[in-house]
Amino acid sequence: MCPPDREVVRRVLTAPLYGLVLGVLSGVGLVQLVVVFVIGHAGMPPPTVPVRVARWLPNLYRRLVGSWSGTPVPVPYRPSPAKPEPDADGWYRDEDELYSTPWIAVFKRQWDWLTQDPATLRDHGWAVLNPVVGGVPALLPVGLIAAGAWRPLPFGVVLVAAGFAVGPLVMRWQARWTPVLLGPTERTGPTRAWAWIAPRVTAVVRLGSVIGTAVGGLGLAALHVLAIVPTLLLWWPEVTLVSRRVVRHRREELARWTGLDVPEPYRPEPEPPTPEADGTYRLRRPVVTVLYRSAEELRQAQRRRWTVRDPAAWRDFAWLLVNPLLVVVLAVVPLALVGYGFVGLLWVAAWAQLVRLFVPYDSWFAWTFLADLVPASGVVPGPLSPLVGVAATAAGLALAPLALRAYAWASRLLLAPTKAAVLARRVDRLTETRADARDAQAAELRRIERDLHDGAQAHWVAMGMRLGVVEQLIDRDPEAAKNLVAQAQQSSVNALRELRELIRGIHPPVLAERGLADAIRALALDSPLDVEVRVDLPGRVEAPIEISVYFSVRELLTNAARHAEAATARIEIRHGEGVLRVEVTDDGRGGADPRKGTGLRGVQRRIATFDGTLSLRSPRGGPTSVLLEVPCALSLPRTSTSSETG
Amino acid sequence: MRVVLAEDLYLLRDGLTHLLTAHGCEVVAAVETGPELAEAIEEHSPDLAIVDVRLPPTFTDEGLQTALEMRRKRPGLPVLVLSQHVEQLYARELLADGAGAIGYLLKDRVMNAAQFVDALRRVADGGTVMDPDVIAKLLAGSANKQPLGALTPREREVLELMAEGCSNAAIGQRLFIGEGAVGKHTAGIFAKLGLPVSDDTNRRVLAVIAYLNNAQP
Repeated sequence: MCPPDREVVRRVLTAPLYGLVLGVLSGVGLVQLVVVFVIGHAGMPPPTVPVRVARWLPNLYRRLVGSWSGTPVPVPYRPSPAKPEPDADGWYRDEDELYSTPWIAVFKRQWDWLTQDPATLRDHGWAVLNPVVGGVPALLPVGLIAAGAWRPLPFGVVLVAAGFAVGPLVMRWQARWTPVLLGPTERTGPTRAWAWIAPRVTAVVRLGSVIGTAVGGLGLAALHVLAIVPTLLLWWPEVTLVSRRVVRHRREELARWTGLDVPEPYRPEPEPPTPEADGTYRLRRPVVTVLYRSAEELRQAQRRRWTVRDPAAWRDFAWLLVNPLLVVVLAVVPLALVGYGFVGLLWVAAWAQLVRLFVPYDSWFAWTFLADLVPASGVVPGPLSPLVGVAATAAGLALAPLALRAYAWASRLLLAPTKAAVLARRVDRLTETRADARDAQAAELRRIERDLHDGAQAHWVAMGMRLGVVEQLIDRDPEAAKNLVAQAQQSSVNALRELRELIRGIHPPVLAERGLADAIRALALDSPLDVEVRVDLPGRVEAPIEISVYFSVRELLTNAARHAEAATARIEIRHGEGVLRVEVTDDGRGGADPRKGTGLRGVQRRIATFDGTLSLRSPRGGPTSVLLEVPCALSLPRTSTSSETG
Repeated sequence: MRVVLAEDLYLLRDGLTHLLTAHGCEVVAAVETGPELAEAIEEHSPDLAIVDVRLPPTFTDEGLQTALEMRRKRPGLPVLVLSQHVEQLYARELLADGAGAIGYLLKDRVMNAAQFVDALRRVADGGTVMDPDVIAKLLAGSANKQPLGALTPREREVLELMAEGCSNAAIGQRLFIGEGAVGKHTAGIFAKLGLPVSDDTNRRVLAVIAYLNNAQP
């Protein structure tokens, strides 16, 4: 025999064995996919780990098919991300957040790496499809040979021979098919069919996870009951907070999945207790003020009010109870359609064709229980049942996004704050900002009074006294009188200077004369920093807002110079969509925290009176950027658009 | 010297009129509002206009705007701007045309009549007079700003007086140093600010101001 013939013989003899191995691995792939899915959703270990570990199987498959068929299958994965390096202070940075341990940064990098690599999804697709497309043909030779071995001689020999004959073909098919999903892809964008299927498959998976939380939620509801009855409410706030985290997660997911806005209904977390002058702690409520002897007692009371006395807690609880019902009504139908149609009628049917080789079996109705359950379904001719499966799958896929949306909408009825809660929160906020404004006003008046009393008033008293002495001295000692007049004059200069400073602190004249834009420019010129000012303000805002924004910017510039050790700053002012936006950015060392200093907090309070908000970005190491947003209208169209430095 | 005066407070207007008359100036018109000021300048073509920044009818910077407007119409019209407060922003606007004959003072300076009248005359002669507060503010905010931050304390003092319109001799008297020493300091200042050296006081102030207007990035 010549060498090529020996090669042919080798291929013929090994193909059934190789096919058996590949067929088994196909089955393992599917089982592994299910395991990865379950572990990935269990939360521990993080979902990146099972996905990463599971790559051993496609890798093995690639290698085997490559070496057995002679055409290697390249590995398509992107290179794994570098380990995060700590900064000089030993912190691990992830965008704007710093962590003391590298784990979170590692996890995020791994997550991005895995989810953004198309090979990950293709691996999963392969695990689903390969048992049918690759596994069934791969098992065909060994199946034929095994079937032949059990049959009477002439027919059996034919089957065995057929088994060996198809072996090389099967291996060639493996070499063609495997790179399709396991090899690298040139394509970056999805095809049209995939663009239709992918979001709907996602919706089906999400509905699946909704079922998961519904079951878990029942457990939480049971925990609520346990906390209420046996521990006599002691653990209830804690349980409420735990379930709040779960529900909050679901709320965020629903908003992300469907675009429906589901606002948080909870009351704000209470401030840490501060003692009164007499050492007691007080909880102020609209009608009564309750007195506590220790901070811990007040903290407990606040915690109860914050958690279980919040109507939102009861609505969360109700949602946990109602949720399974919603899920049954909405999620089960599309899931059943896809599950039964795809798995029951299509996928298993394909396998059943193989099974039929060995045992008599109505392979088209793979899952016969539907036929048992609904005898009428038996009228569908067997060979058509895969088509029914396709139709059911498509219907389920089409239904899934609608069901998810309906579920989100229904959940929102309980998860979003009620009108009353929204109003109550608004009232709380108004009460709070009004109190702040009132306190600030009182403090301001007190400061003005003190400044006038100690400053200008005192100077004028001195001036009057000196002039009185001058009156007596002017004839007797003109030289001394002259001296005193000079002193009186100096007193008046000093008084004027202090008045000027005082006025600047009450309402800067330049603001009255020029408006916000030029007042900010004047501020920039006086600042020790190099400040760039950009203003796009085609009009003037209300005077009270102008004043607040002016003093806020002044405070922010002072902070930048004093605490952040910045050298330059940029102020941008613009107005759009009914909101005045003022952004102050400096090149300082960052790390600003509103909880530490009173400055940022004061700014926050100042603009809160106008429903304004302050957002701070100040990573350690800088730069710091503070954005003030105040809803307001513009009046008196007057163009002032320019950029200036100072 | 023929003076037009614009000041809305009666007491101050009256007091200023007396003070100016006592020092040999002729107050040809003393008006209350911005539009009246413009009219009076057109009518009398005075040697100097003394203008309060804040005037009726808007009670914003009406006086300043009118003064700037009149100087656009009549380049080099000597104007002394008075205010209860001084702003670097306004100083820049007043000096922007580089024509000289401009003054910007706090109203407090009226109390020292001799210095005030001296400033008037310098402005009327085409000089430039900046309030010490403007310069102090400028220098106070300059610690981080190059190249003003590079000046020595003595050079800063000299610059302040230069901006007030003082000659080297006057600066020497005020700081109790010799005129030669002042010359050395001014040379140092001009070198650090990258400006051409000049002995003419008005041109010197303008040079400083030009620097203020343009030099910062």
